[in-house]
Formats: sequence, structure tokens, C-alpha cells
Amino acid sequence: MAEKSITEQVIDKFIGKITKQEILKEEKLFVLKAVLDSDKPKKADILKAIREEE
Amino acid sequence: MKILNLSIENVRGIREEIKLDPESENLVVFGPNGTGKSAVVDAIDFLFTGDISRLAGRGSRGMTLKDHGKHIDADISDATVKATIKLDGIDDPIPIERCMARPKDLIKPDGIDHAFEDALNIAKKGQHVLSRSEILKYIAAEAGKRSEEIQAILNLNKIEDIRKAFVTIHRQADGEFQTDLSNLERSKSSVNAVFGIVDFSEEEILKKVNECRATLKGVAVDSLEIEMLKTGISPITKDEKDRVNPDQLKNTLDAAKKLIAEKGVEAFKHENQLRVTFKKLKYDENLRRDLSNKRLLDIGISLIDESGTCPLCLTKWEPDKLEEFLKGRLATAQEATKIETKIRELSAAIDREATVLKEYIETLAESSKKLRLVEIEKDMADWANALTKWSEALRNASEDYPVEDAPDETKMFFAVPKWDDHLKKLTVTADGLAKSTPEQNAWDALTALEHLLKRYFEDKKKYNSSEDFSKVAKVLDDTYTGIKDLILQNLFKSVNDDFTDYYRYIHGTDEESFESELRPDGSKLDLTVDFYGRGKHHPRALHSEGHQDSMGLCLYLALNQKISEDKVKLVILDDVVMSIDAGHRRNVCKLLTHHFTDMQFFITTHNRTWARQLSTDGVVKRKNLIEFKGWNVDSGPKYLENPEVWDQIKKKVENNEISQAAHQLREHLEFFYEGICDSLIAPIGYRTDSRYGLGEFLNGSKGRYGSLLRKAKASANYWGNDQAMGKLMEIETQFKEDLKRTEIEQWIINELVHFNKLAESEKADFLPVVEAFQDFEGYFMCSLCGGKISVNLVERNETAVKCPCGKINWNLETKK
Repeated sequence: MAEKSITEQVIDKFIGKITKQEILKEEKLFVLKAVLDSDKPKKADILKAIREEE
Repeated sequence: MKILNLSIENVRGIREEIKLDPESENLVVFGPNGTGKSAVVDAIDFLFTGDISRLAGRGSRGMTLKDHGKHIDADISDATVKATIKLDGIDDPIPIERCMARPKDLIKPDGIDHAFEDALNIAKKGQHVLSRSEILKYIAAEAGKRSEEIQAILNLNKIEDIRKAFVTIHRQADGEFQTDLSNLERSKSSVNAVFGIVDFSEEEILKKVNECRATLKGVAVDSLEIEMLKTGISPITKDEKDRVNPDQLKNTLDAAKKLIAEKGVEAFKHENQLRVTFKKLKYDENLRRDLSNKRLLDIGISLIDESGTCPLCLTKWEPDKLEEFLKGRLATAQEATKIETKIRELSAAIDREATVLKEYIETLAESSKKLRLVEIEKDMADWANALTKWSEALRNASEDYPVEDAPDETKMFFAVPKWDDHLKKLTVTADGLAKSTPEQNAWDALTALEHLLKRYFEDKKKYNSSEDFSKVAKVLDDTYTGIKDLILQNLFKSVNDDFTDYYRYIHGTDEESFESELRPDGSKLDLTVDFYGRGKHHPRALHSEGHQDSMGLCLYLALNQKISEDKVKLVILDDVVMSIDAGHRRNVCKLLTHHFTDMQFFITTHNRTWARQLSTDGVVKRKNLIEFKGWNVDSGPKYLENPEVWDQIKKKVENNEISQAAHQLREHLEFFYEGICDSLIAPIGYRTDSRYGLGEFLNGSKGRYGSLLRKAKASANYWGNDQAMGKLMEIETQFKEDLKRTEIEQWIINELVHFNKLAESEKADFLPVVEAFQDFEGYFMCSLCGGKISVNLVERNETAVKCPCGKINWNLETKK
């Protein structure tokens, strides 16, 4: 099994920690992980993923 | 991923097709400058990345892949690079190809394992090439620039981009929260001003609303809703657009006067403190570093598990001891945290007062307009604008704030110069206005409230939402930054450890206690290296250029371990060790053969001696030693595969170029036996001028080989290893015979040694000499790997004689 890249390690550990802290709903976490895993995550997409809709 | 074979056509200086077959093994391309070696590097760069890095970046303006990537005379559609690659876990070789007419399209078979795509994605980043100029990026660069370069090579840019996004989101969320808080306070104050009350509460406002409703004969309502304010009440008068209610005007004047009197001095004091505090943080680098460390320590403490193992370096700690230690360090960061908190608290407090005051001033400006008090209206509008600008500065105070002088706007907090006059005039004007009836006052109050309450509820909703979001944004920012720092510190520690090991390996006993420190510091990456126990310094400060070059190579090799993710096993070293002397280059060879057994190196050099050293020291097999001998624009490089020196010498003899053949033979023997003296640790007679020649090297090698053979026989005898003994005796017999052959031709050797002319020698005289020495060289080389034999030392004890691949392996030990 190939070793995870440094970027993957950071993102996975971050998502794991955030999941434990329960500060984001599950569906938002899922979207945030998808955004962070994308080639070039944009600030606007991250913001959209974590912000509650008005 | 390694290269099995490579075909290049019409790329850069290469015109006619060049075919190279490294077969997943190391390859060395050598030759004088301008023979097309770099074109091979560029071609591989293009094959994997679709670009040529040499044509990009600084100093490359006006250069394009389209115009300068192909051979100058070639059609772009004929400029192609093809390769067959080998990937771990996939049996069949995989053909890939790229043409300069479609640089973005890598032609490859469909349906290959995803590991192939992963490897191509890593190779696409083009980080497997190290050139001399890149070495300087890592070693000579300033900390900030080094950080950028190393982040780029490790492909950490995405990690950093995400961090920046979280930091920005956090800051914006904080800013929004502060703005919404100030706006909410402003709305409350405006509502207060309608009734002339001081402390806002919805219950108190509801009570006042019901008093108004009672005056207007309406029934009491039980909740504060905009739609219910005038429900069931008949209008007693028409709302006049330009009418000013004198009581409300006086209430606003009183509120503004009170705010300035009660909060003005305090706000001035706070503003002064804010500047002093921000100045402290701005100019104290240690405090700023502590602030960034705090986040890391917080997250580190939260990641300690029951075992007490350090999550950073996996060191075992006694239970609770690590947490205690980190908390101790955290305490030292408290000062920085306190300062940051103080800046936020001070700026937010002043901003709230400034925003409320601005609201009063705007109301007064509007009333002045209705009363046609032109000068007052203008002064009030200017004052409100100044307060708006100051609020903006305060909301950004965590990032920046004027530290030397108070912003001009702060002076306005205490009112415009004519405030006292304006205050008197507005008061007199309010007193002069026709007194309203209680019903009119009640009606005006409810009318004003319709607008103000609507804004209050909107601000309250925004405040609640931004308060929640700023908490989420803070947690996300702190958590991400903490985890990123933790993993990167771990990564840099590992890179630093490898870097130090490699450097010590190359420099041997000279630098056996060498230490280095690669330390992230915010957005910078500091590298300091030990200078012979005299402390750590910038790598450029005290070390020679050669030492800096070997540092660059070692750091790159250490970083490469992380870049390749064990998927791309190809490293291209483009003329990178030229400042390193021959002795240390020998250790570079050992480093490459011993530490990187599973990597494929493509090495280019203009130095023939270094190329041959790479061959004799076992880095590259002779078949993969490619000599570029010349170049012309019409056909490209002239190259020679497997430039076997003996073939070249014999060819000269065949052509009766005896003098040239003798010169090359002497040069080769001197180079070769110097290397053998080094690898076999052969004693040679000391010379103060250090001008050793073939005589010393050849005799030293012969004598040492004989003594090692005897030692190996003694060992075989000691261990009763008859098989080894038989083989060694066979070698010894043959060695003695071949030794005689070389000694018979001693006269010619002497001629060679003393540079006498050999012009009179005939082909028939010289050819046996060449053959005798070619055969004799075989004793010092492995027939399988082509590498030379060397003595293995363990704690200064000679334990074995081995070749790089291990086929030759004489045990020298006689007891444990």
C-alpha cells in the first residue's frame, strides 16, 4: 500500500479531529473533505462548505 | 517508476533520434559542454511534465516551448520523446509518448492500474530533476525563499493554500462578528435615544411601546413586533417628512453629549493602549513566534494519548510527563496570547463606542438638514465619515494599526471644533420648535421605532449568526494550523535527520559530528548547520562552495525521499557535483550505491573523470555510460554508448596512433589504480609534494591485492572453508601469472611513467602491453556489476573485500 502524501495526511488528520469536535454537521464535513481533496481548493468553496445557509 | 528505454527526436539540441536503454538502471551521460547532454534532461522533463523548466522562470522571457522546445530546424510535430517505463507491481513495461505539437497530451495505454496514474501525477510535477542552480535555492536562499522552494518541491503548496484560506476565513469571520456587534450596539442606542433611556432591554422597550400605545388609546401588546406597534391605533396626524420632533432631537443630543463625556476620555486612553500594545507585538519577533507556537502546543496537547507517546517524534514519555512539559512551554506563550487578546478587546471596545457615536451624529446631521442648519449638517456629516474610517481601522487592528501616531480620526472622537457651539444652537433650536402634544410624541416615537426596531432585529440576527460562525472559523483555523505544523515539523525533522546522515556519510571523519537544524518559523524555513563544533550558522556563512554543493545534494536527496512517495524512483542529477572534490565525490558514489539501491539515477556531467569514477565505483554499469563526443546543429549530438576505454585504446593502436594510445593508457591506469589504492586502503610511499603517479598507484595496488589475498586465505583456513580456499588459490595462481605479464612489459610502463616518447614502438610491441593491463585490471573489478573491489571496514577492522553487487566477497575475519 502506497504511503499517503503529506497533504493527504494533513487533510485526513484535520477531518478526523474536526469530526470528533462535532462543530460541523456530518453532511458539511463530507462536502468540506471533498473540497479539500480537490486539486486546488478555493477559499470560496471552503467557506461555502462550512457556513450555514442563511 | 523507472525508465527502461528512451527515444528522443528533434528536442532542443537533439536532431536525429537518440536511443538510450538504461533498463531501469542508473545512466550517466558525459561529454564536453555544448554536446547536447542537457537536451536529454530537457526531453525527460518534457516527457513527464509537458513542459521544459529550463524555458520557464526567471531570465526566460521570450522563450517558449513552442519555438524553443523543438530542434531549431524541426517541425514541431516531429519533436517527440518516447519511453518505456517500469512500475513496481505491474509486470508489463508501459509505453508512453509526448509530442511537442500537443504538449498537454501524454499518450499512454488505457486501463492501467491506478498506481500508474499516481506515479505519473507525481512525475508531472517535475521535481525529480536537480540542477546546480536548484542547489542554490535550498542552501544559499533566505529563509522565506527556501521555504517557498522546499514547499514547492515537496508539493506542500496546497497545504499552505488551505491554511491561508482558513486563516482568511477566520479573520473575516472575526471582523464580521466585531462589525455585527458594533452594529447591534448602535441599533440598541438608537432605540434608547427614542425614549431617552440608558440601558437597553427588550422588556424595557416593550414597556415604553405600551406607554405610547396607551397614550394613543391602544391596547397593550405582549411582544415586541414591528407589525404590532401601531395595530389598533388611528393616526392622529400625518407624518411630515421634514418635521423634527424636539424631544427626540434633545434625546439624541443628550445621548451624544453623555457618551462623549463618559466614554471619550476612556476611549482615548484605550486607543493609546492599543497603539502601545500593537507596537510591542509588531516589533518583537519572539512574541510573534510564540503566538504561532501556541497553536501547535494546543493541538499537540490535545493529541497526546494514554500511552504518553509524543505525537510529533513518537518518543516514549512517562505518563502525564509530556503533557506537563508541553503545558510548561505553553505558559511561555501566554504572554503573546495575552497581547493578542488585549488588542482584540481594546479595538472592539473602542469600535463599539465609535459606532454608537456615529449613529447619533448621523441622526443629528439628518435633523440639521431638516432644520436647514447647513454648517452643522456639514460638520456632522464629516464627523460621521471620520468615525466610519476609524471603525474600519479598529476592525483590522489585529493585523495592522498605526503605532506611532493616533489616526487623525481619533481626534474627532471628542467632537468637531465647533461642537459646543453646534450643541448650543441645536438645543436652542429644539427648544424653539413647537411643543408636541403627548399623543404626537407617542405617535412619532412609534413611527421612529418601526424603522429602528426592524434594523435592531436584523442586526441581532446577524450578530447571533456571526458569533456562531466566528467560533467555528476559529476552531477550524486553530485545528488545521496545529495539525499542519505538527505534521510538517515531523516531516522536516525526518528530512533533517536524513540530510545530516547523508552529509556525514559524504564528509566522513572530517564532519562526523556534523549537526543541522531545519526549522519552520511561521512562513519561513530556517536551515542552520554546525561548523566544526563552533555553533550553528547559515550554510553559506562559513562552509566552502564544495561543502555547500554537497549540502544541496544531500538536502535534495533527503527531500526526494518524501517527494517520490515511493512511486517515482527516478532522480536526474544535472551536472551537480562539480564543486565537490574527487575524494568526496567517491563518497557521493558510495552514498548513491549504498543508500539508494532502489532508485534510478540519470547523471549528466562534463567531467570525464567523474563519469569514470561513477562507473568504477559501481554507480553505473559500463553499458550505461554514454559519452557525448560532439555536436552539430544539423544532426545533433554524436554519442558513443558503452565507451569502453580499452576499445578506444586498441582502436588507436590499430590505427598506429601509438603515442595517443600510450597517453590514454597511462591516463587511464593512473586514474584507475589511484581509485584502487583508495578502495583497498593500499599503502604508498609518502611524498611531501603529494605528486603521486602511476608507479606508486600501480605498485601499491599490486602489493595490497597480494596481501589481501593472503589474508582472505588465512581466514578461509581459519573457518575451514575449503570451497573459498580453493577459489582463492585459483585466483592467486592466475594473479601471479598475469602479474608476470605486466612485469615483462615493465620497460614500456617505465616509458609511460616517465613520459618518454613511444613513437618508435610498433603496433606489435604495444598491443601485448594493452592486453596485459586490460586482463590485469579484471582482478580489481567485478565481471557482473563492473564495480571495483573495496575493503569493508567495521570499526577500523578489515572484515571483507567486496564489489558493489556482492559477487566478489572475500571474508578477511579470523575471529569474532
